[in-house]
Amino acid sequence: MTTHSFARAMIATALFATGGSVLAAGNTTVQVTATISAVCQFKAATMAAIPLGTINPSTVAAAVTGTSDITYKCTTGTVPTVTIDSGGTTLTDGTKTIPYSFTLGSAAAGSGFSTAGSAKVVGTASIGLTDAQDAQAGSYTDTVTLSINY
Amino acid sequence: MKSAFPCIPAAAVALLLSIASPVHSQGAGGGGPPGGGGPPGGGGGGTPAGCTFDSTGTTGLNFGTVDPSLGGVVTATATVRVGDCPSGQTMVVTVDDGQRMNRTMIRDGGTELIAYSLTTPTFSPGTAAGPGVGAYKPATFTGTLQPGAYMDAVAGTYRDVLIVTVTP
Repeated sequence: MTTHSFARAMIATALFATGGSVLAAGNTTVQVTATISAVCQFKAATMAAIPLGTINPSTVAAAVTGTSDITYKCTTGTVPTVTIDSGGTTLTDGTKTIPYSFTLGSAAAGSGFSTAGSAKVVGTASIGLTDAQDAQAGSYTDTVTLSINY
Repeated sequence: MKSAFPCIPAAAVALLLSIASPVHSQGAGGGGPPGGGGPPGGGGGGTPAGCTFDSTGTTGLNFGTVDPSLGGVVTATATVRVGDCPSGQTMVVTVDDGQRMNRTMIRDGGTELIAYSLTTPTFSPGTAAGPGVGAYKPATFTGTLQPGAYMDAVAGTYRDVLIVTVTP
C-alpha cells in the first residue's frame, strides 16, 4: 500500500525532471537520410540507323517509313522527355534534298540501373508519298540529334 | 543489490522510455541508471552515474544525394557526443534497428524502402573511457548503402530514425 503510493510519486518526479528533453538521459536519436536523384541516360551515343530502303519513284504507292528504338535508362519511375535538338526535316545527298519527318513516340518510365534492361522511345522517319515520287536519284541521309531530359 | 524498493527504478525507466520513443518498443538502457540516484540536475551532492549525450553534438547519418546510375557503395558517418559520467567509466554505445526494426529508410510520401547497414559505434581515435562529469567525447558509426539497395530505387528522399543508447 504505502509502496504503491511512493512509487507513483517517484514516477511523477522523474517525468517532471526530464520534462524538457523527450529522450531519457541515456538515449539520443540520429536521423538517417538519403536522396535518390532522378537520372536518365541514353544507352549509347549513337543509336541504330533507320533504313528507309531503296525507293523506286515510279512504283512507290505510299509514304515510306522506318523506325528505330531509342533506348535509355532512368531512375525507376522517372519518365524522361526526349526531344529533337537538330535534324529530322531534310534528307540530303550533299546537294539534292528530300523533305521528311522524324517523330518520337511516348517515352516509357525507367526501371532503374541494376540490370541490363532499358526503356525506349520509338523514333519514326517518314518520306511522304509525293516527296518519294518526285525525288531525284541518289543516296540520302540525315543525322538527328536527341536530348533526354528528366 | 536488492534495495528497499526493488521495483521502483524499473517502473520509472519504463515510463520514460515509452514517452521517449513512441515508435520503438526497445528495451534500451541496459540495466537502467545504476543507483537511480536522483534525476539530472537534482543536485544533492552525488555525481551522476549514468552517461548521457550532448544534445548539441549529434550529426545525422546523411547519405546525401545518391545517383542511382553510378552504382558504387555509398557510406556516411554519424557522430554522437557522449559522456558526463565519472572519469574512466567505460561507456558502451549501441544503435537500434530504426523505425521498422530492420534498418531501412522509407521514401517520403511513399512506401518504398532502401536497406542500409551500420557499424558498431566506436570512440576511435580514443577509448571508451568516460571523460568525466560535464565532458563529452565523440563516438562515430558508419552507414553503408550497397548498390543493389538503391540502383533501382524510385527518386525521392528516404528517411529513418535511429535511437542510440549509452550504457551505463
